[in-house]
Amino acid sequence: VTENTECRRWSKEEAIRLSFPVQSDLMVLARITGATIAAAAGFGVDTVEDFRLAVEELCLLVQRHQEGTLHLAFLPSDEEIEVRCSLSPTEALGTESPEASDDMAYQFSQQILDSISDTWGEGGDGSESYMWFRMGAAQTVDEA
Amino acid sequence: MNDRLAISERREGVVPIVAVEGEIDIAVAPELRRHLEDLLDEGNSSIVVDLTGVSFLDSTALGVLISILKRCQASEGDLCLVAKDPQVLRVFEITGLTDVFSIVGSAAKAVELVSP
Repeated sequence: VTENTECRRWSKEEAIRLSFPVQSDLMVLARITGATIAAAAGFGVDTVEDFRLAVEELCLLVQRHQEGTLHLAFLPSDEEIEVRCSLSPTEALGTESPEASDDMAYQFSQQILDSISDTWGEGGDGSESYMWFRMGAAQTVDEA
Repeated sequence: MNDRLAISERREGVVPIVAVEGEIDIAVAPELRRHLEDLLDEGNSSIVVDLTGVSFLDSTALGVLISILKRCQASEGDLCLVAKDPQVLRVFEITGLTDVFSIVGSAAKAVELVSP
């Protein structure tokens, strides 16, 4: 935190990208990166917390029961941050059936994104499919 | 033991209180699940999980807690949560789980709720 409170402005071309192997103990990288970018964009404290949760849930939705590499792209603009997540799969994860709690977690991920993002969904550009959400700093109401 | 999650346990009468500190995500949720399932396997039907030391939890943590709640209820017991952090409470509110779990502000109150 610095005394410079002016929000940074990025253009769409300045996407910040993070790729990492699907490995549960690396998920924290996505959260930390998301929180840092949201804070740099001027999001308030509570909205930063929401943002990092949304990033985590987006990754969980994309990586579900698959191995490979997760690719995150953060696209900040003046009004919001768009986050895209895709997976380069290597192979299906094991042969075990998903536990019932995994299915519940999947539904919870969707509920969380429904609630805290402005909008989210699935997309693709022909060569890859991805999931995305957008979230604006306008939700910020927590600063005294 | 995980560097990012600390789980400790004490008892209030017959009720086990499991205190969790750190961030509960997909990396550490299985450890919490194992700990709680061990308690159920030992014959405990009601458990208090103290989340006051938790600063973050995700959908995988919710999935674990729901599955433990169901097992408690199947044994005619209950799972009561202790939570105060607004961000933690918010996750339960968003997912509608404040209507599913008993969530209170102190371990003493939680023990009172689940004691036979």
